Amino acid sequence: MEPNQKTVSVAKKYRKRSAFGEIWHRLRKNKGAMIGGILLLILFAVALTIDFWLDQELVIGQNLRARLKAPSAAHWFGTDEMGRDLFWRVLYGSRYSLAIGFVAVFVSFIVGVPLGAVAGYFGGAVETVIMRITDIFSAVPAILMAVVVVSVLGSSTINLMIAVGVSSIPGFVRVTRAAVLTVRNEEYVEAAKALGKSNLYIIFVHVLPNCLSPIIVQTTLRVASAIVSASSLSFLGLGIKPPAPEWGALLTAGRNYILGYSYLTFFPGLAIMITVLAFNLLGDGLRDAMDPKLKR
Amino acid sequence: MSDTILEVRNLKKYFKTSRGMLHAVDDISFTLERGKTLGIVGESGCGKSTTGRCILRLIEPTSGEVIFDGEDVLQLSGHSLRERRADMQIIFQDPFSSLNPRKTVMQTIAEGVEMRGKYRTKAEIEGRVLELMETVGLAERLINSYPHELDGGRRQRIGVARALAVEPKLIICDEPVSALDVSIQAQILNLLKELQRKLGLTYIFITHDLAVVNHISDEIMVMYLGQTVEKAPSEELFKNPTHPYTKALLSAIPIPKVGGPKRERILLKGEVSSPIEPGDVCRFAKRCSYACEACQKGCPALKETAPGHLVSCHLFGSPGK
Amino acid sequence: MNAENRENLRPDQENVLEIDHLTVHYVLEDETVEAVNDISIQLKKGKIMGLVGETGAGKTSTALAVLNLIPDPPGVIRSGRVLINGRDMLKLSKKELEEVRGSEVSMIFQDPMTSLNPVFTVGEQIAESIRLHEKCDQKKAMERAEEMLSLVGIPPERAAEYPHQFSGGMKQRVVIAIALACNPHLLLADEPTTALDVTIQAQVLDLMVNLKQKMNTSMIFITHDLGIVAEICDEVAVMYAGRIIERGTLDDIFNHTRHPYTEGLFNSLPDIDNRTAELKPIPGLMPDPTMLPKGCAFAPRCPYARPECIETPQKEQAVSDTHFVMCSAYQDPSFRIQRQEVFYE
Repeated sequence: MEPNQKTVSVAKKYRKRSAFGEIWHRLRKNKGAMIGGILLLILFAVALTIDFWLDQELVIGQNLRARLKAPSAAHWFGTDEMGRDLFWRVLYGSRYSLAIGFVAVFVSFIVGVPLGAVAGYFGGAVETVIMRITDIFSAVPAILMAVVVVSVLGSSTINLMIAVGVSSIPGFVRVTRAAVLTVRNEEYVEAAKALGKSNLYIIFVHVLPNCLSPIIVQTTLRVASAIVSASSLSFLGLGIKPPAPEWGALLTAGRNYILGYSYLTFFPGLAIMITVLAFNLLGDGLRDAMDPKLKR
Repeated sequence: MSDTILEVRNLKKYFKTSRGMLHAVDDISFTLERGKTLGIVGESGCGKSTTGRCILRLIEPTSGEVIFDGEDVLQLSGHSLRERRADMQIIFQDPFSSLNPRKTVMQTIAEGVEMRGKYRTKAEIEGRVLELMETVGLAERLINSYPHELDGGRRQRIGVARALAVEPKLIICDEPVSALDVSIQAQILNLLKELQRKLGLTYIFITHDLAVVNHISDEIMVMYLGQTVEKAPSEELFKNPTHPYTKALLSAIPIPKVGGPKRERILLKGEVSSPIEPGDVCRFAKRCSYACEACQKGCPALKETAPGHLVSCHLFGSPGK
Repeated sequence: MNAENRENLRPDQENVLEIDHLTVHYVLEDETVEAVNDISIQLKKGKIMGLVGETGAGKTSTALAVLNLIPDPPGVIRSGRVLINGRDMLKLSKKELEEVRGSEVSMIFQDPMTSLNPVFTVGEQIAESIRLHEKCDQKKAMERAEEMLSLVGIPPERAAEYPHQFSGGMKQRVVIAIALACNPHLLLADEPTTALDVTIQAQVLDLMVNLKQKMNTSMIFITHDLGIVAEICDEVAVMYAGRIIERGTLDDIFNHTRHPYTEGLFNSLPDIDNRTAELKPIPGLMPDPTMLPKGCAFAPRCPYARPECIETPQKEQAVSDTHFVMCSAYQDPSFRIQRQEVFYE
């Protein structure tokens, strides 16, 4: 056992940090990623705790005397057509929108990425079947698909998330498959096969980690479109019911007043934009931090 | 007792294309003795790499037998195939694409070490990785380096160490030095030779570089469009090349010597023809200056012209002779 | 032989190409790649010079500098002159450069697959390069293009075909036809046969030597293959870490090797006539071009290195009228490397 103990110290001697430590170290040096991360942290903190400290009345209580007031010290974002304070509504809306964006994308990621990886890696009949089904799914308009899902499962926040998630599965399948196709014929994949590794091991250890870039980009972009499609569903009355201040619903409501009271669309839009930006910044940062080639 | 480690019989690999069957490997047979090196040479598209990959079943052959240590590899499946595969390893040409860019030297070599189940704890595996690194001449401070931080020669050494990690008996070297500079190429060739001597390895050495193949092989097989055209012990092949293609190939090597006796150069006409549906003719006939009617009438079989020297050409060893 | 040697010493118009103390650096954010360091070359009309060296030795940068094509930024030509027929390429205006490139000097790249445009026929591509430099109508240019094709051994009727219909060797012939279409005085060939098979390589080399004789073109042939150099070159310059460490005639370099690095290169090659000969690789690696050592760049790998080699920069020393070596060990007249001089009966 003596020599082994010595060798452990040898391997450690040349390593400054653990694998995760290394990623964290590089992520920390990326300003954009840190800003994105902090923004997301704040948003999530607000979304998770807002029920405990914000009076519901402020969010849904109507005050017809204070209708359509422009932003001021009393009402930072102004008030809407029912006289509700837009700032509190936007803040409270994070509770719905973040959950929808996050869960919907999570659903499509969990289903889409493995399907795409399997299709790309194995090829042949497996690929044909998966890709044709994907084609069928993407031939149906996303909104129609979501309508179907919601009407089958019933209208609830969870079902809305699933509906939006299902409609973005094809995107993940396609992107993953395309990325896997470029990697699966690399010689290190062949080398792993020659060593006797199983296909599952090869897909998860050798193939997918080298396909991260396009998948991460796809993920961050999808968060935005998930929030927006959830709002269209709400608009159709299939999602979150008014007066719950989901961001997409706020946008839709504000649209009627866009000429005279543009702040009604501006602030919910800004909230969506900031969230998406934060996801993008963090996603790009993660992608770079996980790529050993970009190590300085 | 002849100690045969590998016997390949009538190995074929056809690929389906839109214009017909592509005969990548067409009826290749050979035997290989333990501890020896067989060189396979030929131009791009002659099927030499496909042959190597078929033996490992990285590509599924169309038909044939690959008998490794008395067992037909092509009959195995699932777990037993994966276990058998580890006895045969492969070293690749491109030291960039043959290593996972996201894995450190330690992680790459450890993948093979874990396979045999001999080394279980982290410490044991690390110890073995360091041993292997020393064997192939990698400094231990490189243990956590990523491939892109290293030069081509070092990367190729990692590839060798990964192959050695599963303690294979046979290693297929697919152009392992073609992408390296000469001084580094010599380092790797010497390493491979030394490993063979120390560990009793058997090599199949696939290359287009005839000087290299001559240096490292005991026996050489020349391939043209998926078929063996000539096979002989290295010395014999270079002294006494028989097939017109081999002759042209040997005369085309640029030799880094000045002022010696002028060699006669045989320039071949045209280029390699298509391996799609080649038909039952001599595949070299179109470029051959000795081609005659017989060459259009059938594919010549391999015939022994001298002990151990096989040639497939109608000009030699015809049945009447 | 003697007369030729004397001619070489005179810097006259006979030199198609003269590179004078050329230094090319690539200035990156936090480091500088010293790619080419103070090199000088003369090349006479109708001669082929082999520029030999390993990856990263600065061969391609030298060729690009000759064409004044160093990408800027990050490339900076720190000093030197590049005279083609007496004109300094580094001082020409953009318009003049365009005229000179292609008509007086042209270049062939390593990969024939990427040097041709897939959407034009090969005939059109050759004709285009003719029309860029000579005033003639499309029909005339196409005729010339067909002539060029038959010159490189491709049937002229294939002028109407697209690059993807040609094999690798054929494509490289087309590239050669384009490069030679305007009958340049100087051709720079950057590993033109590396991507080809040996038998095809033999055909292309044969073609290039024939064309050189027919058109009296001078050529810089960049390669890492000493075999090819022996086959087609008249003169050789060996590069290491951005410097020409030895240059001379073919006979000088191959049979009277002086520099320890050149010796190491020869010792690394398998000898095709003697398969049991042991390979003696050069230990170690080429130094990082961003951190070149103060003294001789080869000293850390050199079996003959002495302490002063590491400290002092090397100067070029004449071994004979034609043969130059950059190794201070020869200040001691008794110094010899181990490689034996080769004599043939």
